[in-house]
Amino acid sequence: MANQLELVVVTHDRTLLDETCGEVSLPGRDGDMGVLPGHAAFLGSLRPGVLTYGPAGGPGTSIAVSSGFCEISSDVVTVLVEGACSVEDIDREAVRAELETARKELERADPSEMGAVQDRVWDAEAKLILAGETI
Amino acid sequence: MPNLIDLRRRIRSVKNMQQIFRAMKMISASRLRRSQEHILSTRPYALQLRKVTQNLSAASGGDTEHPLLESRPEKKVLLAIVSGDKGLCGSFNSNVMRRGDQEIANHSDKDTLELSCLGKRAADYYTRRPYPVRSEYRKLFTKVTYEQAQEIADDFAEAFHQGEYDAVYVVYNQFVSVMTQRVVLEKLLPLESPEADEQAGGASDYIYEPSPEALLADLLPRFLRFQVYRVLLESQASEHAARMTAMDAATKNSGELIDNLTTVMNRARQAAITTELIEVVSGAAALEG
Repeated sequence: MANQLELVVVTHDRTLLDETCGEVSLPGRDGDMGVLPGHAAFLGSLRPGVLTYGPAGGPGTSIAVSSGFCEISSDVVTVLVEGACSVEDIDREAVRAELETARKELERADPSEMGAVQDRVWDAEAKLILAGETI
Repeated sequence: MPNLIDLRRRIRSVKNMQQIFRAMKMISASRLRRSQEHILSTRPYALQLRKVTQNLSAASGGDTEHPLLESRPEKKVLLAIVSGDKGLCGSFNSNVMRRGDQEIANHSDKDTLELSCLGKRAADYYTRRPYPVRSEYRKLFTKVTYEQAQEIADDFAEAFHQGEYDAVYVVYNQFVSVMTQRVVLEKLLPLESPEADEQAGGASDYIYEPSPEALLADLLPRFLRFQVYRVLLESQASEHAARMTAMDAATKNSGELIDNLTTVMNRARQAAITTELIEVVSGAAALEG
């Protein structure tokens, strides 16, 4: 069995990443999940969060991704998200402001909008975590 | 006889215009290239999105139920008309609006059709006429972003879901090539039931999280957003292509005009010289005589 994974991250306007790595950690909708080579075929939904990839067991590189999908088949992890950014792209002030507004909206959002607003909170939180800030 | 000074002035003004036309053509050419690259860069996402959709429909057994897939008799329809924000691009805007007018004529009863104008030109045109306009977006094409497409698509989806409309159509200029743009009418909602791809099947081998149905419900709104995004990008590329062609023609025409005017001017100059010479010669002859 191959002991490498291929990670492909695609956003609506480009292929952001296409790399070989030993381990990927994904923010699944029902909980974070780690993927190692030889993973069973999988198709699932992702919540906004931090995606980490790197050599197995070693330190990885992280990016913040928005909500989307993830498909795993024959050691290829395809991540389909609407947006993604790395640490350098994060504007901390703007994200913190967005987090505040999103949290306030979450308090009085009606059930039909709850999902979308929750995603915005998670999105902002993921970016702040990635930037090493406390939330 | 046309005045020499007037002719010179006219030639100068046509030359100035020609420079503007040429500059606009170059600008459009470079923007067109960027637009085309933009369209190409959305391909991987489109491909993956289709793959996932097919996989999911195979998994959920083909007959999926979702509000965005529900097809109803078309009693009330929303028509989105995608034009540009600016003119000077040949028949780009008028073509799409002519098609829009046709559709409006087909729904002669006013209560059955509402419009959504994407682009300043269509907004200006239709708000001045007695048609019900649901929404207008005037500054879309300075920079087409996914967020804008998302806003538009989510508005359509919501209205369709609430039962305000039974179908949503879009009229836009499809980008065929630099020389050809085709006006097409496409149905946005209800979404076509995605075809299950049996070969990509292996569906039973997959682990789904959450269930395929829930995943599909999550996927369809994204699918619609992406459709709207694609339509906007295509229309933008078409606009640049149309403007480039129009400005190229204008540059050529103004070149011809300059040539003609120059000929007329030279004739006038020559005529003036001849007249003067005759005057001198006949003056001299009169003195001699």
